[in-house]
Parts: sequence; C-alpha cells; structure tokens
Amino acid sequence: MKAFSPKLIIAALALLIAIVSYHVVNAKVQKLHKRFELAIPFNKVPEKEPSDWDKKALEAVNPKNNHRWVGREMPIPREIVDAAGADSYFSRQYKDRQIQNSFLGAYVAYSESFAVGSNTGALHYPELCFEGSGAKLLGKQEGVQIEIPGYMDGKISVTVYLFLELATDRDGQTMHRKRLVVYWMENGDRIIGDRLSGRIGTFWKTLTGGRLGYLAQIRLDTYLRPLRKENRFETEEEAKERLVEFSRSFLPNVMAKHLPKIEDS
Amino acid sequence: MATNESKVEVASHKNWDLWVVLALATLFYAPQIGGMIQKWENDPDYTHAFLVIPIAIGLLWWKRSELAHIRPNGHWIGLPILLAGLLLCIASLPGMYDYPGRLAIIPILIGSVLLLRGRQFLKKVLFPIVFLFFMVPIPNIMYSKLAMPLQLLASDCSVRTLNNIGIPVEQDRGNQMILKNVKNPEDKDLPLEEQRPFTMEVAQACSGIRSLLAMTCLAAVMVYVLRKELWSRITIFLLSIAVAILLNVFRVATTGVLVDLVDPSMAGGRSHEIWGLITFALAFLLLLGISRLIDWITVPIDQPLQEQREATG
Repeated sequence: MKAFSPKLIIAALALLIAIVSYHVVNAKVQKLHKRFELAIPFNKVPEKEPSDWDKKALEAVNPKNNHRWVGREMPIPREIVDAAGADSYFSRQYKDRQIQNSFLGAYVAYSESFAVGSNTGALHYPELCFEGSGAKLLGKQEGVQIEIPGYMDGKISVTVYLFLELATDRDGQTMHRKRLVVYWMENGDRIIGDRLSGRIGTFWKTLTGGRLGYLAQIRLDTYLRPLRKENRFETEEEAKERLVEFSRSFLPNVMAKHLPKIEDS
Repeated sequence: MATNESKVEVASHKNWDLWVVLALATLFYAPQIGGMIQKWENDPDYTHAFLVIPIAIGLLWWKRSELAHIRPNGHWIGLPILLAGLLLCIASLPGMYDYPGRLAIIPILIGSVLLLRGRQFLKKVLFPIVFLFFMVPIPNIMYSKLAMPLQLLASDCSVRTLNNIGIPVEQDRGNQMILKNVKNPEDKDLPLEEQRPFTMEVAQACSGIRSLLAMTCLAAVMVYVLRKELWSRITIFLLSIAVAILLNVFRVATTGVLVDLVDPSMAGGRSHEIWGLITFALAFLLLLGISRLIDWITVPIDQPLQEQREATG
C-alpha cells in the first residue's frame, strides 16, 4: 500500500487528465484548421510570365484618378515562395505615371497554416530577406501610424525600413541605392503589430472558437529616386510620402479585393 | 559483487512508480515525438536528433548504480513544475506553435522526478533530461535569424581569406562568391571572352548551422562525460560554438580553393558533402584538443591528472 503514495496518484492523475485534454484541444484545433483551409479562395502559387505594364489586365490603382498607377505581375519562383513560408502570394510592381522613375513594389505573402513563425513555414521580417540578398539595414522605425481612409479602421500601424543595396545601372556600373520598405501583418480584421500579439490573438481565437482567418504579410517598397534637376536623391520622408499616397489608393482599391474574408460555416 | 547487484535489482524493482509516470508521460508526449520524427527525417539539419533519446537513456544507464543508492525523498515542489509542463504542451496547440509544446517534456520529467524521488535524484538525472533540448527543432524564424548572419559571416570571411591567399574573389549580394579565375561550366560552349566567372553560392545549408547544432549536441555529451568541473564544462561547451563557426568558415574557404585549383564541381555534390564530414571531424578533434589543453594548463606538473580530477571532482 505504501507504494501507492499520494504523490504517485496525483502525478498519474495529472498525466491522465492531460492526455485526455490534449486530444480534446487538438481535435478542436484541427477542426478549425480544416475549416480555414477550405475557406481560402486563392489559387495556389501562380507561375505566369511577367506581363508588360497593363492597366486593363491588372487592376490599375484607383480608376477615379485616371489609372495613375499601372502594374505588372512579378512572379516569384516556387522554391523561394516555399522557403518564405507562404502558401500563396501577390507580387506586383507598379509604375507612377505622374512621377518619373517612380516604381513601387507590392508583395503580400498569405499563410494558410496560420502558424506565425511555426515549423511549417518560415514567415519572416523584411530584414531577413533583404539582408540575406546583400542589403544593409540603415534604419528601422516601428509603430508608424499611416492613415488610409476606407481601409481597415482608417489607420494602420506599420514598420518602416530603410535599406542600402548594390545595383547595376544601365551602363553596367555598380552603384548604391536606398530602398524604403513599409511592412505590416494582417489577420482578418486586425493589424498585427508583432509576432507575440499575433500568437496571443491566434491562441485566444482558437480557444474561443473564433474565426481564424488568414495571415497576410504585406510589404510595399520603393527606391529613393534620383532628382536630377536638384542634383540630389529623394529624402526618406519624400519617398515615404509617395509610398503612403500609393497605399491610400492601392489598399482600398486593389488589396481589399485580394484579402480573403472568411465566413463562419 | 553479488550483494551490489542484488541491491540494484531491488532498487530498480522499487522504481515501478517512476516507470508508471514515465509511461504516462511518454503517452502524453507521443504526438510531439511523431511530429519531430517527421522533421528529423526530412531536414538534414536534424539527423543528429535521432541519437538524442538513445544517448539520454545511455547516460541514465551509466548512472544506474549511483541512482540505485539514492533514498527516495520526493518533494511537492515537483507538482507545479509537472503541471506547468503539461499546461505548456496543451497550450501550444491553440497557439499553433510547436516549439514550447515540444520543450515541455523537460519540465514534465523534472517535475515528475522531483515529485517522486527528490532533489538528490534529480541532480543525477538533470543532464540527461535537459539534454533532450537538442532533439527539439528550433523554430524557423529563429533558424533564419541564426542562419542568415552565419551565412554572411562565412561568405565575408571566406572572401577575405581567398583574396589574401591570392585567389581573386568578389562578393556579390551577400552570399554569392564570384571566383574570377574560374569559368562557369554552363558557358563552356561560348567563346572564352563571353564566358562568365563561376559564382559559388554560400547556401543556407552552408551557413554552418547544421554543424553548429550537431557540434553543440556532441560537445554537451563530451563535457558531461569527460569533465568534472563546472567551469571547464561551460568553457568547452561555449568554445564548441566558436569551433563550429570557425570550421565552417574554413570549409567554405577551402571549398573555394578546391574550386579554383581543381574544378567547379567541388562546390557541390558528393565531394562537397565528404569535405563537410571531414571538417566536422576536424572540429571535434579540435574540441578534444582544447579539452586536453585545459588539462595541461590547469593541472600542476607534479600532480598526476587523475589525482587532480579526483580532488576537484
């Protein structure tokens, strides 16, 4: 009888309850996960060739503004998309027809797995991919508020990065250029400020049986343009203004169409 | 001798409560093991992880006679630790984040041992339990954060080394090494002036993280088995990180030399893998050498090594 100590009984009981609880919670999570997978309306990674600048084939941003920005698809090789941990993506380059040499990149990585930083993918911040390709991080500002009327709550909190890159000009000469990147994550109807809050949100939604939605990492970028007449380059602020102006048309007119809305089944 | 054996037998017979808890813990943790096995099988960075559980069991077996003589003195403090581990594992499910759930086996085992056997017993089995850390794949976000700087470090150092020894190399976009004297084999049909120089990519697999994970795992066992003093265990373990990184730089740089002297095919394929294994073996030998060096520095000349170890141990 001495062998059946209270400590053994309690430890065994705790483990038995934990085994049952684990399987109950796991079944619930799997069910939610399956519902989410079925709800994703995206095609899987597209493998199209880049088209020319086109305002008809692609949604040109803000028709009211006389299609100021025209875009083209920028396909990314599948292995890079897989390595980036994206289940689907959106990648376009836009050209501002009102400003010379104004090109803007829009990249969105969607994750069905919803596991922020899980082992199923390697969703990561821009510093990893940019620094990995040889760029140098010059500055990073978190929690920058941008007002975007008609999108989400009209205001989004983003991280702004400035990178220095090596590039080759038309004459084949190597030169330095700066790239401004605006980055944030979205999950359904909320902006995720950082990974921890994203994870806590996921945890809470699963526990309360809420809609999981998707995870989207959104990255908009542009180079600091050379202003030849003034014999200088754009400042960071000027480039950011240009990017924000683009966002105000792009997000409600194009992006909103591409963010899946998950309905409760 | 016969008396000792019978003591061990009696003691292990009394351990059935521990076996019951261990069996239940294994049952609870089985889904996590299943997920990890998939990762170990599919990711070459974790092939060493297959050995972690057998090594931990082996270390416990090694300590079995010491454990048999420890009087059970379980403490209730083990219960909250056990419960925290169980909760952590369950809570990782809604968060869809495997890492903490997989690490939960450590508090589960520590809590169980403390609850049923007490501190003295735990002290003896703590290392084999904590050693299980090495079987848990690190999250990809952490992996990328580690791998990227290592990749760039390997490229930077290799480019400098190769240029210093007279092999002209240019670094492009972080991890690309352009060997100017070597022609790209893909351009072999083109006229000589149109042939591009060969670009060697320091891929993520060459970041050195694979050898770093395996080396730290191996170093942990090595210091536990070979060293007695805590300071030397910590020193050698920390040095294993530096050795793994250094030898990876050596591997990338020497691959550059082989590409320059022999053939661009040396940058990949079987020869590249074999060279990786050789440098890993060299790294381990270097670590053993460091261990011997510490003995040589710390042990007085007139005192035999064994005596000194016994005195400090």
